[in-house]
Amino acid sequence: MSTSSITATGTRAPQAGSWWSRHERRFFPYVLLVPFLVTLVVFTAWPAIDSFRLSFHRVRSLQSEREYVGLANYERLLTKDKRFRTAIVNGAEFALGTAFLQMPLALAVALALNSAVVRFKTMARLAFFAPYITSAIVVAWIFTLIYFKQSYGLLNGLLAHFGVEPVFWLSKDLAMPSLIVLGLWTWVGHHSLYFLAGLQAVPEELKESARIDGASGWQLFRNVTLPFLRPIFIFVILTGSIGSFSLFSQPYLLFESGSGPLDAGLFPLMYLFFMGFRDNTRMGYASAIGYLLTLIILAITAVQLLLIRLWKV
Amino acid sequence: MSASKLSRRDFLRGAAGATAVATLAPVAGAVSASAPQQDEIVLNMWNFATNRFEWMGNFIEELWAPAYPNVTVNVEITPHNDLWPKLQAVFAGGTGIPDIVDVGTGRLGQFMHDPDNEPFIPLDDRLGDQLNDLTIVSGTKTWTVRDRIFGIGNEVNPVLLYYRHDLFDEMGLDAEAPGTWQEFVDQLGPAVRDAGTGLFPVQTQNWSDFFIQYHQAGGQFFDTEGNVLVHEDPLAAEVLAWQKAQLDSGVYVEQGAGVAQYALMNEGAYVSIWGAPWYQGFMKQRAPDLAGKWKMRYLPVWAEGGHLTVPRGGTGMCITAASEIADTAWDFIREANLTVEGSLLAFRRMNLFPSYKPAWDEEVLYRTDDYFSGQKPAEFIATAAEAMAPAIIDNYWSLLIDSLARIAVQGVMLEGSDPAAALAEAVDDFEFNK
Repeated sequence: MSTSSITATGTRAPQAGSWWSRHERRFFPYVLLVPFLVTLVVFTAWPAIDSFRLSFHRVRSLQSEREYVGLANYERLLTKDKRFRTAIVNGAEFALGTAFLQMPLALAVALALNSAVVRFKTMARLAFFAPYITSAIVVAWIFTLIYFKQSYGLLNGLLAHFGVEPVFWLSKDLAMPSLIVLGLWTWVGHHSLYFLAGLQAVPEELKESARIDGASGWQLFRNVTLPFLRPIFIFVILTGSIGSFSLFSQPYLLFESGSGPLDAGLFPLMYLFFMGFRDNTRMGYASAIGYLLTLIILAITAVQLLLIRLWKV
Repeated sequence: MSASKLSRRDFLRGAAGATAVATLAPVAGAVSASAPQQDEIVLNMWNFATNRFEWMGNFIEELWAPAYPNVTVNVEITPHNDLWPKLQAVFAGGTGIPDIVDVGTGRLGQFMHDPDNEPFIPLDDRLGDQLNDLTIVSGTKTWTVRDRIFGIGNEVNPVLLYYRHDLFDEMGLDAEAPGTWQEFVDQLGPAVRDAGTGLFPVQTQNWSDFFIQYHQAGGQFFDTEGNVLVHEDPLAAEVLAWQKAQLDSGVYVEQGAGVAQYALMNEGAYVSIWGAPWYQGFMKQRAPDLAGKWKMRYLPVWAEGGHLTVPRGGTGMCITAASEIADTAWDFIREANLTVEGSLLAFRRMNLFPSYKPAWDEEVLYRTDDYFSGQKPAEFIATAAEAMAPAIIDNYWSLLIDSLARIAVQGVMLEGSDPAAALAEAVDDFEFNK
């Protein structure tokens, strides 16, 4: 049979002399991946590598030459920069709010949705999930109206009916609790869906056998249900922590494009934006903030994973 | 039929062809779009203020298009705080840069740190003798860097005091009487406070009220060499402490930010406020029910012989260095800002008193304003224009005011920090960030 003949399936038979013919099967998948890989390299990998290099430079303006400064940006961030410290502390406080308030509440909501008590479950799920898919701009605007200091703020207006004087909800001391409440409203419903999925994955026969062995409702939850939810806890804590340090839109909009009174609403990504783009053009320093933040999140994640591994239910 | 099946080789060939077409199509399109009819020019402009955006629309339709039919102008509006990072991004990328940018007070400097890489072009030569037709403080000073002019501002912006004459009349007080700020709070404050309202609203998280008072008292944040003065000037600490004392006494009230300040204005939570002429437009827009209840006057002075007023805000048109049609861009700026017709159009649209002095003789400028109880705002503005204390706007202005707002103003007004120590800490923070 001629090597150039058409096979029964319509594909050409391999040509002995052609390099492509001999390697086509091996390389063709990579050829198909080229558009994706090019996009990944140009828009993700190269900027990440370049900004890493940039973090060791001082840049006077975006058009200027880079001046190599070694680890000076990192040293300054770690030893001298009070604002960066404030931003990290704020991120950590919000993360703690996520871990200790959002998670239990989300679990409670999931348990309620999984029980026979709640009717119209689909409606309820939708209602809890709706804040998560609402634009951050809209969420921030809603809470701006709620938290207005003066008596026409929704919350203060409500409290006024009970004779309570208007409260400055976005003051230095109340800014973080107010942001955590915003976070609860936005993410509890979303997290509860993960827990709900986990609850529904608990095998019925396990629960049944525990009941037969005389387990109480609490014992059933403690010894059967909770262990099954462990991966959900890990996932929610990790994503919540990462999200806490990366928070931007909500505080930025709530504090009118600023960082709140005495930086009470400053988060690391906002600080990066201020230093690199809005108030300053220190792109090298902003890059160092980005990489240091990555390292901090990785470290926190590692500690959390370790703690969760040690957690025996 | 087997022949109709697609082999990998055929697929590759087809994909390569499609990719080539997809890649070249926009280029071909761009070539055909930019191979243009003769003399057809597209001018791109960015701005951030809705009132100026509307003014530009009117200007292009009424004055520009009839005179320059071959030039299409695209004006793109971006919110104030987002425009500067957006500009940084296009300057860094070297593409998508507009020809003209509306640059707000104090914002030019952040792009001009490097003398070897100035993203805007100097306009001195193009301006020539017309410089003498402009009020320098409002028209060019803010956009002057290293002794060269990079932008043209079209409005005279002296701060004036607006007061609720209806409420003062009810209380039997004469708001025109006090000559100094101390007299203002002493003579009017207690009675106004006892009536359950505030005499004046002050910003507790922003730098600008502190700057207006300090500047009027004779202070400057920078000297002409770029050295920071504010932390070593006892006057600055004195002004901050004075404002805090008025707030603590209940004579001053917190202004609130954004829409909150206008809600308070409508509620009658304060009976006087200061602002440049552009602020009058916002008052009319956001507190229309208060028409006829306001009057204006010059500011009380800090001390006898002090400045009558200071400039506040303002926007200048700048031409980018990347523009390939700088001559056309200059024509646009000149027609809008340096002609009587363009200046009067801005006045009609935005109530902005022109910085272009040849327009000052026009009768229309001196119309009475019902919102201000039949007063003639232009008479106040024209007089104040000659008495403004010029601000020295350094290239690092936006950085310093950020540090001052966060540490000095918020520290003193919200936390009760010691003013001198807070100012020193703010300048340390600025030097750290510079």
